[in-house]
Amino acid sequence: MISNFIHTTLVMTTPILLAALGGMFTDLSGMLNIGLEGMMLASAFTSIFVANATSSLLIGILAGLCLSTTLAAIMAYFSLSLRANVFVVGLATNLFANGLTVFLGVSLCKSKGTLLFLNAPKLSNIQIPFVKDIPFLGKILSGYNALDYSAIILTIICYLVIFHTPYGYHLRAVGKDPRTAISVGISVYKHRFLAFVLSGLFAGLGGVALSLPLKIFVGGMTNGRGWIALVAVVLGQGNPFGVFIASLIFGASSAFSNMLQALTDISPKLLLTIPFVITLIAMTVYAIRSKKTYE
Amino acid sequence: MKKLEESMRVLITIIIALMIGVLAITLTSKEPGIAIKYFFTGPFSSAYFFGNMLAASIPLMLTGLATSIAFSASAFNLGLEGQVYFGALCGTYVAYELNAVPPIIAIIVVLAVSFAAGGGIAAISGYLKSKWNVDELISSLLVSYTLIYIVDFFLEGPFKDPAAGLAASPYFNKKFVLPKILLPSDLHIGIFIVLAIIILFSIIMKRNKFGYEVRITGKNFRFAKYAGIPVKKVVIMAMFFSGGIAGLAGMIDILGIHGRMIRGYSAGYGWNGIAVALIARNNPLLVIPAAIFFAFLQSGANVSALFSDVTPEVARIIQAAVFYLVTAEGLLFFLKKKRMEKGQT
Amino acid sequence: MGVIATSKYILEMLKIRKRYEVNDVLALNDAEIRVKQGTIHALVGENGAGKTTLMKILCGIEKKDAGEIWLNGDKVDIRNPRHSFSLGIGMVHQHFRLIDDFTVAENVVLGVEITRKFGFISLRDVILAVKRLSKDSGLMIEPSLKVRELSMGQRQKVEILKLLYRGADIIVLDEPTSVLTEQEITDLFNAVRRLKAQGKTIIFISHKLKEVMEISDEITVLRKGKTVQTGKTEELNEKEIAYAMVGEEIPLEIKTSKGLSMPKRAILHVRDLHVKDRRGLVEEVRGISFDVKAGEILGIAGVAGNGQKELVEALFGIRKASSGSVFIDGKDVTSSSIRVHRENGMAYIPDDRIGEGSCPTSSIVENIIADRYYKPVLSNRSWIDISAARRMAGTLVKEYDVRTSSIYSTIGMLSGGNIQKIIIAREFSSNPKVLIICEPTWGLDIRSTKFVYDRLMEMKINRKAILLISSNLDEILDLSDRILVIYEGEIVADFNNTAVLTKAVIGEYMMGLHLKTLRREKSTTL
Repeated sequence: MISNFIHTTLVMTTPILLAALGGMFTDLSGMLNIGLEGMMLASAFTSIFVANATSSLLIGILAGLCLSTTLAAIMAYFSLSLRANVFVVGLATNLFANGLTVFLGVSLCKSKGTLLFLNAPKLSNIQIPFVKDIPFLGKILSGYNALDYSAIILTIICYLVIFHTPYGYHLRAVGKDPRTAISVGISVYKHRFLAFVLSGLFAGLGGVALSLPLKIFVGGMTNGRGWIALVAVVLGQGNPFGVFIASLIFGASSAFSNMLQALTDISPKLLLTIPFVITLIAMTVYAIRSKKTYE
Repeated sequence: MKKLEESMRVLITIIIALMIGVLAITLTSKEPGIAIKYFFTGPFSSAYFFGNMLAASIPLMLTGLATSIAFSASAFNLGLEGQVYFGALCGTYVAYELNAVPPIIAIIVVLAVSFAAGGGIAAISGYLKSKWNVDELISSLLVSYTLIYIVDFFLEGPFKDPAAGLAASPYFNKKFVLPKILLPSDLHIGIFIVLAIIILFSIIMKRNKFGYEVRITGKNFRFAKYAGIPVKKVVIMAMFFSGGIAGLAGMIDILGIHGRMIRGYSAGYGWNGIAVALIARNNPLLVIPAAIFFAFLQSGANVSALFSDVTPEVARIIQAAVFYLVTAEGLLFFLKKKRMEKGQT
Repeated sequence: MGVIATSKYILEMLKIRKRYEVNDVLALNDAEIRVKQGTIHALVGENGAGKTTLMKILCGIEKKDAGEIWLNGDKVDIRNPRHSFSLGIGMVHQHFRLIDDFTVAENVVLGVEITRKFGFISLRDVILAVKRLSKDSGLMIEPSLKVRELSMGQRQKVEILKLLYRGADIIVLDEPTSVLTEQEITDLFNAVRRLKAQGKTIIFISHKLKEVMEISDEITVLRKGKTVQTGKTEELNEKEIAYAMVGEEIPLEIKTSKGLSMPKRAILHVRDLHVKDRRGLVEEVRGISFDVKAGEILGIAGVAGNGQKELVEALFGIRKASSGSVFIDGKDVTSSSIRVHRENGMAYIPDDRIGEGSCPTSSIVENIIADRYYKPVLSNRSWIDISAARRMAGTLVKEYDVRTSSIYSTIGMLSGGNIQKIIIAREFSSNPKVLIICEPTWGLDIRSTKFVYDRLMEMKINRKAILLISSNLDEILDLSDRILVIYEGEIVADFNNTAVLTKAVIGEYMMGLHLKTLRREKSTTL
């Protein structure tokens, strides 16, 4: 029971964590990426659709990442080169991804509801030998799919990159004080652009983690996860482990909502509000604790 | 000169967006010629289609106005979807309960309730921002997601009409439904109410103390505070009016067209309202043509789908394209701002 | 000196021209500078003369429109900051370019990090390298400290280390003394002389003539983007340079009325005021008490960041005081809103004119009415009387000599001096009892400065209680009747402004030397 809950929590955390890691890069570069939701959605549709059409997981994933990264690059170009308001471009990204996936769903699959992609290869769960047989812990540590594991590994890699490489130093410098960065020859434009591209890649992976394991796509299936990821970015304060813990809270609230749906007859609609309410509370508590009065 | 430049840019935006629409239709249709023809001419081909287009623009005008009010105070209200939906539910419920009350009074009460409901929830985000600096952009959105589920819960359970085939509330008194103008279309007198609201707010923003406070607070918060403007109250009130108008958008649509509350009936009103406000450059009066343009895109796609093989979803691509373009079109706007900033250093 | 004079120029910038498109200002118009190897070369001029712009072009931060740059006899085309670094040129900006959250060492190596295997940074190597450099150059500083913990003088050392680390031979210092105390200035000058002895060339931007005469070997004077004079320091005198800078003679004397009217009645009372920082953790103001009398200017001297900002904001109601009290003419306003402060007769001119004192994207009219739009003179129920607002703005613009084509101009388009005039017009015309004024002439040209001083004296004669906060000691000494020195959130000295009071004495208190002794002495005399 408890091990099941932890297992579900980690699975629910994966898409949020991946997207949040992406959002963290743009955040560190000093930009807020509102478009995570749209990037996730675009990749969720494209990856499962292409994987279904080509019967290849890898091609599917790459196609998904391609689209989400393209959206990210467009966002970067509009906000950095054309100096469009980054919030507004982010909203445009979300709206576009939403419209595009619905439109493509209708045009290509002739269906508006849930799209089933039964020909797509299965993203199987990996059982770690020996570990899986440990009672209790086996269930917690083993039996996740490759994306779940890679989310954890990527968290560690992100940490090393951000705090122990010149790139990480430059990225943080750009975000904290762009004028200083420029004065020592660090290109703000390049770092911000790259941060957007990275956020596109990570958010894309997050989208893949939504659709591939289930082999379905539903319009708007990200359902606010991009926004929740954005909150995780804020709460994580630029540290990948912080982002991980914040994502875990939201993963747990989703798992909790799922569990109650299975165990009680409370209306599922009401239970679905849990992750949003928790996110709002977490954000408010964070704001109160950091005591930044509104200036 | 500046005005001319700006209108040229809006025009270019519109033309490019329409070209993207033409491209999308061409790519997906076997008979693009017919589809495109209906897309452009359809909404004007009959009183029915034309009236429906204007009817569809009514809620967009209000959500556009709602966005621009919050934005004038430099606050992003991203919770419009939820405010529209929740405002409509509260209004519908009151309309249903007020069955025996004279229509004029009932309608006024219902509108007031939906205004208060939408405004109240937006004011929560304004309050959180003023009190603890919680980002209103994200908090309003999270509240909105939550409310959409809660409203759905009511429409699927406690407030569901058992006789209805879909998740919808019972019909309220038919006498409350706003009179139609251009039968057989859906166009109703709500459009006059909306125009009056827009003109009223346009004047308030220019001449009223509250409008002045909102503008100054939005342009330079620290200055407003220093000058003695009650900035926290201003931000909360701006969010309240923004959400209230969103609530009205939902309720006027219900009063004018549906006569009851239907699950998901307002999806997209909020997001498109943001786009409308952006095209209108935050100017309340320009919200009117911008909303009609957005409604035209949807109507064109709908009519085209009736007479050809395109899907009405093509409208969403075009609307999203407009959203993108309007940000790029903002180039001029932001350059100017930057110029100001640079000029000072 | 003779030896240096014969060596050729290390740097020549010839006929440099630069126009800012955004506001169509010709910042540089045939500016020239020739710098000899191993000298300290002062670049002087009024604010806005183009000194910083010229140096930004040298550092690749701005692009020139025309002109040539010669370095060691080679013509160079400086493309970007990185390129400029590689040519051995470095600049310490007036506002330091340091990242507060990074350590000294991280700041020094930022952009040119040492990496080890897998491209990871070795923090230990970095710290060692910075330690060595710090020792060699005599700029002693602990590399593992966070920059946010450092004083301005220490930060400046970090900036110079940063340049040395990159192997800079030509070091540009932009108004380096503006944020330093007297003692820190002495330290800086020693360090600069040491660098010169090590063969570095220093370009020293300043508009303070005394400093320039003291430290420099040669001087170039810019006026309105043009080089108007250049020569050896020993062959020039202050008067000549001042004339070259301004282009005409401006009487610099201020009509002070120190001690003219004997102030008696205290209007502003501050008692044991404590203010915490925004997060509520650190006490920035620690128990300050003073009175300001009608017709008196009380100056508060101190190094920026010693609690002045917090003190002033608490006085005006922008921040909440954690304890203590503030009275305006006997009325307790400690926890009142800003509007109540204003209505009780307090006015405030903040140091940040654009961020706080005005709304740059609004018109003059809208800026003028900001504190009074709701009052019966300007409104009718909840509507603003637009024509009354226009009339008021028109009158004030005339009265305060604001140079503008229209009262509808957005004020961000005006010059700094004119923006300050509008702020002064609004605050002074509110008929205050108490005036708080921060850095009133920072960045203003001589004419605007004089205007501000004259108006201030007028207010004093009109028996306003005036609190003047300035980091410019000359200003404090010229204007104040009484001077308090603030150090780490406490008042450490209280002087009557008499002829015997010198900058050096105030400077010592500003730096926190002999704190306690005098405080006790003062408390007995008070």
